[in-house]
Amino acid sequence: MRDEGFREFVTSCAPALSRTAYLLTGDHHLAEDLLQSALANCHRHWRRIRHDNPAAYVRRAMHREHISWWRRRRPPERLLGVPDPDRAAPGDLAEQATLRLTMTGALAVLTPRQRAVVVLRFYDDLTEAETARVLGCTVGTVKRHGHDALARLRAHLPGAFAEHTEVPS
Amino acid sequence: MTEQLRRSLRETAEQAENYPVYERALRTSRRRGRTRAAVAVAGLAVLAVLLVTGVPGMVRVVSEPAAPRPGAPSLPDRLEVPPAFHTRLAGNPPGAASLIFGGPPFAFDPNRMINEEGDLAVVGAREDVTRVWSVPYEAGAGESVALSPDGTRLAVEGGIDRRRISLTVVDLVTGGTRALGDWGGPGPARAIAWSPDGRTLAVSAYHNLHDELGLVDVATDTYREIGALTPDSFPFAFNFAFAPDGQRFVYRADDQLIVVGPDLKEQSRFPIAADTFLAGRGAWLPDGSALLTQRRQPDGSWLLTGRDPATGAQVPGVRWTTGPGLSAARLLGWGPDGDPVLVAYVAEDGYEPNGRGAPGTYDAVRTVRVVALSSSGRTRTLLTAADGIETLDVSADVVAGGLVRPGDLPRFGVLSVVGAVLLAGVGALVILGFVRRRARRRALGDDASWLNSSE
Repeated sequence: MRDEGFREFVTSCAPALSRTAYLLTGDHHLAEDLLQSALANCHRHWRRIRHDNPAAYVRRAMHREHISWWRRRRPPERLLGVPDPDRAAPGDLAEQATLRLTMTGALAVLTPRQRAVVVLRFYDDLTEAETARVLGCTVGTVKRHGHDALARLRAHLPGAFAEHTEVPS
Repeated sequence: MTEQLRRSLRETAEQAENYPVYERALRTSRRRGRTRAAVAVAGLAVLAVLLVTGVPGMVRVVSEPAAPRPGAPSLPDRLEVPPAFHTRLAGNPPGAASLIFGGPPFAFDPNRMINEEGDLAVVGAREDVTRVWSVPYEAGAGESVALSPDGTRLAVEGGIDRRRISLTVVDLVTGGTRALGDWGGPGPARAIAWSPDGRTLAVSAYHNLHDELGLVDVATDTYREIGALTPDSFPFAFNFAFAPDGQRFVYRADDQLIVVGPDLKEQSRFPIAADTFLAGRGAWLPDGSALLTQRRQPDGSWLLTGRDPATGAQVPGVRWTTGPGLSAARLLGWGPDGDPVLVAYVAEDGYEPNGRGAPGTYDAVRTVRVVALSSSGRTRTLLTAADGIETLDVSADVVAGGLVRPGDLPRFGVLSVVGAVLLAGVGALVILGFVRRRARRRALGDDASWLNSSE
């Protein structure tokens, strides 16, 4: 019974959870491992959380697990081929492809916590207070990590952000 | 900027595949469950081992011969029941002892689940070094477990293999043990008394469906049969006594007292009333001129009277009376001033002696005392013990020396405090961690509904 309900949950939520995992890790293999680990935790507590919000549980588990991975092991330095954003012509298909590559590279230079703040704030559209609750930190910490993350992204992708900074949100 | 960032993140996220992790997640969950169970079992096992051996083991010293201490042996003036985790005798020889005492279990022992007979404690001759020993039978100090005259050895009944080993002698100085019983005949034997020179043990050996009295040369492990014991010979500790010179001894059989000489030939025998018993291992006067027998009085006191060892006739003027309320009194020996020194077994409330008025020990006893009697009827209490200490034996040297020191036996020792604090600390940390974890999960669970916004 437990496995049946869990299977339905994974089937319905796996695509969204996979996207979050990929944003957090920037690597398909790591994203898969991260999601698998978080789902294993979810399976263990399935009876308790199945009527609550299991997707939220998995997201929170992924964020925390990813930070724990980073604390436990420093991955070897990776050489990333980052395309020059100035070479992309705005508005065409090449621009979109280049943008994805550059975003992946830019996210890679963030610390796991900075990356988590960026994903929660600008992908999951959580408020600062909600982000703080997920990460188990204060709102001030979220603000600081968010500020640092944006500064790094801006430095890493000056062209792209410079162009769009003036665009009203 | 943030709008562009959001759009970029969504486009980047679209690169993610739908990772097929369901089966792997299940396997991981089950593997972690097995690991957690194994760790929990291992943790409980470690905790159990720590409880059983670790706490006392942390304070266990390396087994090595106890260093001799200066000064004359003396008697502590009080005894307390040792705390549960007190230092064990095994591996921790205390050196020469002033006394041993026993009673129902007071030590923590994992074998207690199998056998609940009793515990013995050994107290040092010159200071209150106490060691505890759990034994698989009633811990009858002075009755089935005898302390040598110099306090350096214990003779205890039985052994690992009761079919072959009849007696075990424990060296309290070196910590070594020696099995006696190579004579091969009698089965389990019970130590009754040491000879004054500490070379011979009087034993009651069960052989051919009856008890017999024998003498064992401790050095050579040779056994000499003296004669059959009869039902009235029991309790043996009140029916046998070596003479002070060690050349003669007296024992009871067939309602008679039988005096045996150095060549093991009977020197005399005379009848003794069914309600009369020898006073104990010190029943001979120091000069060997009389034997003391005892009989219970209606008020629970015991009347000790002298008898001629050749004829059994009463010896005028040799007479002492203990205080009332005793289930038994056992004469240990004679103090330096010539007063008899006894173990007084204080009876349990409501104690009723058996039909023939035999001395009642162990379950009949609330506590014990060591007292010295004077001819004037005055009783001096040399030692008092806590309730639950039901048997006691004092070395002959301590009795003869007459020295008494203030007892310093902890009621609740440092070792118990350390063990209790360790266990309480571990338990508190576990409970605190569990409570905090539950609280954190509950707090997060209450406001987690907004988290699935991007599904």
